Amino acid sequence: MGILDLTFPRNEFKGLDDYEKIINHILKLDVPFTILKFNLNESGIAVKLDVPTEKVSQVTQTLEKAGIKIKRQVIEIDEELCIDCGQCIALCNTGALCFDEDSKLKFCEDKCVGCHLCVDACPRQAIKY
Amino acid sequence: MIKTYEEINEKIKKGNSIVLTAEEMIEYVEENGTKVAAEEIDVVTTGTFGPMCSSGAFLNFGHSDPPIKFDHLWLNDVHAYHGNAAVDGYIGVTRMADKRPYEYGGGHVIEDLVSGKEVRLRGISDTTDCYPLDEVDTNIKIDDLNQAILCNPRNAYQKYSCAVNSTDKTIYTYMGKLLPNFGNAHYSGSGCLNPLTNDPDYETIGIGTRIFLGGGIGYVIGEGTQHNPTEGYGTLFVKGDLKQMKQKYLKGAKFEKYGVSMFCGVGIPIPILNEKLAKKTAVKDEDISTSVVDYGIPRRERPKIRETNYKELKSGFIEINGKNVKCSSMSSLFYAREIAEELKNWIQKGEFYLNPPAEKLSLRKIFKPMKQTSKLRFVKDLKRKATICYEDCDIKDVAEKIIEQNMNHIIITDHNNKLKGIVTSFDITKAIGKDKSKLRQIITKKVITTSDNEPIKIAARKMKLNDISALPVVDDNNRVRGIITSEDLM
Ligand code: SF4
Ligand code: SF4
Repeated sequence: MGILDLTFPRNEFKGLDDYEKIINHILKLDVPFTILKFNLNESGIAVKLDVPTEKVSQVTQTLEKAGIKIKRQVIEIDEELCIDCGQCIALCNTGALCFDEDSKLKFCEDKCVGCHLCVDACPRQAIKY
Repeated sequence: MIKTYEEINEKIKKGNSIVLTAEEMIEYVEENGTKVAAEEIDVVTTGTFGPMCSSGAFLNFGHSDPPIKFDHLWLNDVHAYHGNAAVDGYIGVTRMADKRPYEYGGGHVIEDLVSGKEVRLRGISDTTDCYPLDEVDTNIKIDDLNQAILCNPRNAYQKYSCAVNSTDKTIYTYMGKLLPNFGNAHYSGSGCLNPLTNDPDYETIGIGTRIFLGGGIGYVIGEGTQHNPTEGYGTLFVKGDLKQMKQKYLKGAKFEKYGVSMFCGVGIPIPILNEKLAKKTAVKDEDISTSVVDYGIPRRERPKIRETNYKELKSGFIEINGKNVKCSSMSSLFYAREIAEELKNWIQKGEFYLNPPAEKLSLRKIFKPMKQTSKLRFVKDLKRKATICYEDCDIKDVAEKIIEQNMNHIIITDHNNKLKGIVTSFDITKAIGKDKSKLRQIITKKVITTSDNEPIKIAARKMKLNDISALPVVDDNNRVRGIITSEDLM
C-alpha cells in the first residue's frame, strides 16, 4: 500500500461539485483506494488515501494536474548508517532510489512520492522521514 | 605448476607483486588470455559484504573480585551464550535484545564494541564456594576484554538463491521485505567477487588460509556449517581477532519482522599458482548461475521459479512470468569492491602474505535435512467436511444450517463449488439483528485459505496471525475441499 496525503486547497475548491470532480477523476483511473482520514483544516480539506503502491505515481500525477496539493513525506537517507546494500531499491517503484555508477546508493528526492514502502526494508534503519 | 607460495611471498616482500581484484582479472584475462595471466598475475583478491547470520564473538571479561561464574550474561540487554568457563561468553549476532528485540541485537553489540563504545555487561550466578559473587553490572569497552575473537561458523556462501514472493501478502524474511505477486526480488552475494566462486575446487582456500575478516586479519578454520559443495553452495568457518577489526566492515543489521543479524566483510586472496586458477578467477557474473526461489511457500523445499545468473541479478531487473521485476541485493557490492581493493593494497604494500592451507575443504559433503522423529501432519489429515451454502441462498437457510450442523463457519461457494466467501454464526446473528436478508451483504469475501498438503503448523500460524479460527481447504482451482478449524488443531 501507498499512503497519499492530499490537501484540496481551501480557496480553489469552492462547492461540493469540485470535490466530486476530483473523486471522479480518481475513480476513472480504476484504482481501488481507501480513505483513511478526511478532515477540514485551515488550508482546506485534508485527505489521506491508501492506494496500491504500484499506482502511487499514476494517482499522484493525476491529482497534481487537477491542482491538488500532495504533501509528499519524502524520505531522507542517513549516509552515516547506510551501507549501500541497495535492498531498498527494489522496493521503490518510482525510481527515486537507485545506484550511481560506483554502486553507491543515490536518492532522487524529486522522484520520491513518500509512499514509505522502502522504510522498513532498510536493515540499517538509515531511511528516515 | 607455474608459481609457488614462496615465490609469490618473495615478490610481496620485495614489493613487486602483481595483484588484481577478481573484477579486474576478468578484463585482464579477456585481453591477455589465461596463459599470460598465470605468468604475470600473482594474486587475485575477492570480497563480499553481506548479512552473515552465523556469526558471533567469543569474549573473555577477566575475573571480578570476588569472582563470579556466569550462569547468564547480557551485553546491552542482549543475552549472550554461556556454556564455557566462568567469564567466557559468546555473543551471537542474531540474538535479539530483551528490550528492543527487533531493532537491536548481538550484531549491534559487536559493532558497538568494535567502534570503541562502552557496552553494559550484566551477569548473574547461582554462586559456588570458589565463585561467590551472584551478580555483576558494569560497563566495558573492547580494550577491557582479554580476548575478543570473531568466530563465525558459516560465512561467505559461494553463491545464494534469489528470493521472490508469489503470495498476495508482503512477507518479511531473512531475504528482506518481499512484496506480493512477485513485486520485487532480493539476491545476495557479490557474484564474480565472491571468494569461493573464484576457487570453486577449494584448491587454495582451506583450513588455515589467511584472509581479510571484518577489516582485520582472520583465518579460515574449516568448512562452514551447511557446507554444500556438491551443489555449489560451499561455506566457510572463519575466525579473527575482533580487536584489530574495523566498524566499517562489521555492521549490525535488523530485518523488519524477522530479527537481527550482522553485515560482515570477508575477502580472500587467491594465489595464481597455475593456469587453471587464472581461468577460474576470471569467472564472470553470467557464468554463475543460481535459482529464483519462491519464499512465499514456507517449506524446506521452496519452489524454484527459474534459473538465473548474477549478471541478470546485478542488472536490477529479472524476468518472472514475462514481467520485469525489480531486483536488488541484500549485500553491498560497493563494500565488496572496497574489501577486494583493500586486501589488494595490503598485499602490494607487503603487509599481508599468502599461505597454503593446512588441510583442504571437502568437495563431497552433502547438506542433510533435519531428522524429525515426529511425523509431519498435513491439513488433509485433520480437515473435515465443510458446511457449504451457495452464494445466492437466504440468510435464514444459512442460520438453519448453523444450528442443524452445529458449525460456526459456513463456507459460501458458487454452484461449481468454487470458494466465494465465509460466514460465521456471529455474522448471521448480527445480520438478523439488523434485519438484513441478503447473504451477499454479510459474507467475508477475502478469505485466507489452506490446501490439503500444507503442514498443520503453517495453517495454525495463518490462523494466529490473522486472528481467525477456521480456514477453508481449497484445491488449485479454488474449489472447496473441506475446512479446518482451530478446535481441530487442539
Ligand atoms: S537499504 Fe538502507 S542501508 Fe541499504 S542501501 Fe538502502 S538505505 Fe542504504
Ligand atoms: S524512496 Fe521510498 S518513500 Fe520515496 S517513493 Fe521510493 S519507496 Fe516510496
